[in-house]
This record gives sequence, C-alpha cells and structure tokens, in this order.
Amino acid sequence: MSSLDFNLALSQDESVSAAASALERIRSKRTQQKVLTENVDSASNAKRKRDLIEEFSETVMDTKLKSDAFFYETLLKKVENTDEVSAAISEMVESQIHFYKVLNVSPVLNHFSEHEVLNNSSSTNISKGSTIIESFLRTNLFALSAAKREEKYKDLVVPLAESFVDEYSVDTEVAVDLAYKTTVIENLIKHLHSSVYVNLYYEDCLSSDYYKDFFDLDMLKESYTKYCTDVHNTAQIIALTI
Amino acid sequence: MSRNPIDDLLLKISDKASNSKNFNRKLNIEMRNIVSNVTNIANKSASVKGYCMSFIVPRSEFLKLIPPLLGLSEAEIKVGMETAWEQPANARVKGSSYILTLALVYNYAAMINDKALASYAIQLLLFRNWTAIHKKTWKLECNPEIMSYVIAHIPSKQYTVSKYSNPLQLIEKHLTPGIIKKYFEATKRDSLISKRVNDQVYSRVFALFYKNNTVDLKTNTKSHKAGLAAWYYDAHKNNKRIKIATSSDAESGIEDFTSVHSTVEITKDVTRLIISTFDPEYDKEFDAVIKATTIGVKQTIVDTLLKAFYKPKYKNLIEDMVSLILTRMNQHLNKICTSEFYPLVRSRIVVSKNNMLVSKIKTDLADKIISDIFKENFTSKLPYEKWSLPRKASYRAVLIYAVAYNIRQVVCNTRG
Repeated sequence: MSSLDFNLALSQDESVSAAASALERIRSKRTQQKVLTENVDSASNAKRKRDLIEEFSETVMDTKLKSDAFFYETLLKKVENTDEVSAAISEMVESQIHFYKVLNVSPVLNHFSEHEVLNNSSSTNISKGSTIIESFLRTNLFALSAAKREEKYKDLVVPLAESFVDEYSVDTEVAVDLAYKTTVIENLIKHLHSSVYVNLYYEDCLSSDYYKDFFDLDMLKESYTKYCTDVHNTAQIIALTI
Repeated sequence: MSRNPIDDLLLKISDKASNSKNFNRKLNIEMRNIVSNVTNIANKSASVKGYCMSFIVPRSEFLKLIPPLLGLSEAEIKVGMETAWEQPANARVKGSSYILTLALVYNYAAMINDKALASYAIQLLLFRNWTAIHKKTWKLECNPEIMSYVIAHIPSKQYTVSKYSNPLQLIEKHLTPGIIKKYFEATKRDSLISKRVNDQVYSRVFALFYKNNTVDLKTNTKSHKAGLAAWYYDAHKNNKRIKIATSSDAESGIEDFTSVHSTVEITKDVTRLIISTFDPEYDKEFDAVIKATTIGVKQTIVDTLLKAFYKPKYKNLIEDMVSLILTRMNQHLNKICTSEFYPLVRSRIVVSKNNMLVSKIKTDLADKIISDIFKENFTSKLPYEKWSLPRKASYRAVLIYAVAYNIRQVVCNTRG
C-alpha cells in the first residue's frame, strides 16, 4: 500500500468514525429530548387531569363501589370465614366513602368502564375481576424470583412479621408467611382502589399553602389514616382466612 | 337615504342603554322571566293536553314592564313600527302593542347581536300566535284524546308536529331556532326584516293547523285538506281517539306559582329580603343540609359565607341567581315548601353538570360573590378564582343552598 493509499484509508476510517460518533451524538440528543418531552407530557397530563378532577358525586361513587364489588366477590370465594371478611370489607368501604367525601372528589373508574359496570352481567364482570387479580398476583408475586420478592417486600414484611410474632405468639415462619400474604393483599386492594389523580390531588391538599385555611386538614388526614388502617385490617383478615 | 322609524326607535333605546347601567342585562332578565313564566305554566298542561294546549299570553305583564324599560311609550312604539311596516288599516297586527313591542325587542336584539334576547321575543310571538289560531280553530273544546289520535296517525313523517310531543317543545326546539337561523343575520343589516319575521311567525304556526287549501268551485268555499285542524275534525267525525292516562298528582299548592307574575315577583321579593337582612338566621333543616354538604370544610368559613352575602352590593348577582334557580326548578316549584326541596336543589343545581343554566349559576354568579367575600374577609395565598373545581364546589353549594333557603322563606312564609 502506498503512503497515499494509506492516508486515504486512514482518512476514510477517521471520517467513518467521526460520522459514527456524530450519529451517536444525534441519537443520544434525540433520546434525551424524547425523555424530556415524555416527562413534560406526563407531568402536564397529570396536572391537567388533576385540574379536571371533579367534586364528589354519589352516582359516580356508587358505580365505583359496584365495580369494586366484583373484586370482593372473587376474594370472598377464596376465603373460609366470609362473614368476618364481609364485615371488614364493609367497614373499609365506609371509610373509603368518607375519605372521598372529605376530599370532595369523585372516584375514578380504573379497571371497569361505566358501561361495563352498568350493562355487563355480574358473572362477566366477576370473571374480569378475577383475571385482573390473577394478573396482579402474577406480576407482583408469582413471577418474581425469591431475591426480587425479598427486595420488593422485605422492608414491609419484616416489621409486620415481628408484630405478628409479638401479637399472636406464632412461629417466625408462620408470621413471615402471614406478613407476606397481608402485604400482597394490601397492595392488591390499594391497586384495585387506586387512582393516580386522586392520590395526586390528596398530596396537593397536604402540601397546599391555603388548603388548611379553608378546609379541615386534620379531618382529611384522619379520614385517610382510617381508610389505610381499614385496608390493612381487611388485608390481614383475608390473609388469615385464605 | 332617510332612516326608517324602527331605526329611530332603536336609536332612542341605544341612548337609554348607554345612559343606564346594565340595561341590556336587565332587559334580557326581564324577557327571560316572562318567557319562563309562560313555559312554567305551559309545562304543566303540556303533558295532559299535548297539542290541545294553548299558552297564557303575558300581555299586560309585558307591556307594564318592557316599554318603560326601553324608555318608550306604547303609543310611540305603535306609531313607529306601524309606519315602518306600512300596515294597512285591516292588517292582522294593527293596533297590537304587544306584537309590535316584541318585534321591536327582536330588532334591538339583532342590533346588539343578542340571540338569546331575540329568541325570547320570537318565542313570545309564537306563543301568542299559537294561542290565537288555536282559539280560533277550537272555539269550544279541543279534545286531547282525539288530538293524540291525530298526532299518532299523521300521514306524512315530514310533518314537524310528529317529531315533538307538544307545541311548547315544537316552539322551543324547532320554530324559534329556525326563524332565528334564517332571519337574525338579515335583521342586523335591515331592521325592516322584522316585518317579514312577524309574518313568518304567523304563517309557520298557521301552516301547522291549515294546509293544502282548496276552493269548492260550486259553493266557492275554502277548505283545508291537511293540517291539525283538518285531521282533528276528520278524527272527530269518525270517532277516533286514543285514551290518555291522567296524572293522579293534583299538583297541590301549585296555584300559588301558576300566576304569570309569580316568579318575577318571587325573584324581586327574595332579592329584597336578602339585601335587607342584617342578621340572618337559618332553621335546623337547613343546618342539616349544610352539615352534610360541607364535610371537610372549615365551619368558620362556612358561617362567614352564610352571613356575608346579605349585602346590597350583591343585589344584581343575587337577583340573577334567584331567577335562574327558579327557572332551573321550574317543574318543581310546587315542592318549594316540602321536604323534597333541598334534595331537588341538590340534584337539579348543586351536583348537576353540563347544563348552561347551572354553569351560569355556579361560575358567573356564585363564584363572583364567593370570591368577593373571601377577598374581603380572608387572606389566601391562592385567590378563589384559581382554586380547583372540588374546592370551589363545597362553597358554591353553600351559597346556592342559602339562596334557595331564602326562596323558601319568601314563598312559604309570606305567601302561605
């Protein structure tokens, strides 16, 4: 190879390398822009939807409770002591309604559409409910490796298992098993009830500069705590009887 | 080119409008109240009488209120309109101050581009023409059972009557929008179009009763082969009818509200009561309603709001609120003094959505009062106008219930 050929080959290599790095820079910039745009979009979407959130409506609440009832039906089929679980669910539903009333927002239907709740047969909706529950359990429990489960639930399960050992004087193994079940079921109920926009709105009330001047912030906090406690108690009762 | 007399009248009204505060709004409210009074009463008979119903024409109420408001005398309007329209001595509207003033209001609405006001004028004209032709056709009695048969067996589906269950709906949903759509823009350019509008109002109603006129060449008498009147008499001759189930609820107490003047008077009385009260007191039933509505709301703020709106400076806003609340409750006015009243206020107004009237009550009126009260009494880092909907909703509900409470006080305590 002559020196000219060598220089040419070198310059071609350099230019290819320069082009590759330029391409990389462009790609990376585009990705950054995309991430930035996505972040801005999701933030503005959340804000917009939070702004669009409507005041408490008994009609919407009724539909929401009807849709939640399809999940409860599935859960009740799996437990032994249905009376105790039913009573716990009733109490939890009452505190859920009270929380929404104090916050003065309408719940958001997130697993069933209004049309499905009102027009589909109960069996169709219960079947859909059980599919949603199974999918949640698969993603959050069964599909996880032992290490991932530990990573995900350790912080919640350990103190809970300790409390079970103290409270019920059971073996550590039984307490851990019960704590696992309780945590997963609690997460499941929260997932079934949850609405991102209602949570955002609640957080907005807590952090607002003026909310406490015009609204009863203590009552709001109390109602939320009561609701969370009732969700936990219901999960625990289901875990004990499942 | 010289101005026609209608333009002269409009100029005088414009002068009055520019010298009088809130002139257009007042005119709009008065017209709306008059229409709403007629429709309130008509609604009651519409379900029973169907196309046999007629309307109460609020002639005296209208003439007592509107010409003085326009700053013109009845005679002035009559002369001006008749001259502009070049009415012959035997003209149908000759001498009718009611029709001529309504036409002038329509002209003024076109001038200020207020379609709502124009609709009120056209509706009142249609009510009046329907009633006149109805009375002429059925001098003695129109039997709703025969008319039901007629409506159910109208030969042509194209005939508008079959699409609406009663004349009130036909006028509100079909005739008025149709006339406005066709002539409103033209009236803006030429005030004399109001004459054609008035003719159209009559002919469109007349065509519903009488169509396909034929002349018997032997006797030289005119008759109609189609239209409500022709079909009705055919059905009557052949003894065709459809039995109508009668409503058992006798609408007890409704007499208090069915007078043409009542809601206008109630609006004025309630406004007067509110602006002249210094230390308002509420009853236990109201307290219970407010308690259930304001879960999670600071009681001290609610108490302040419940007292602070009793001020003369809110007179116009309160008057509009009362008027709109009464309009929205129009089918339930007989329940004001019953335990159903607050639940009805809740369902028809407080939690009602996607309704222009309700939206006006909440955003245009209640919000203005609350915002002003909050500015005067509290310091907030975020002004009320910028609050989210759920936060505003609690306080709006308090104010709406409080105004409803005063409506109840006036209707049930002072009117027995």
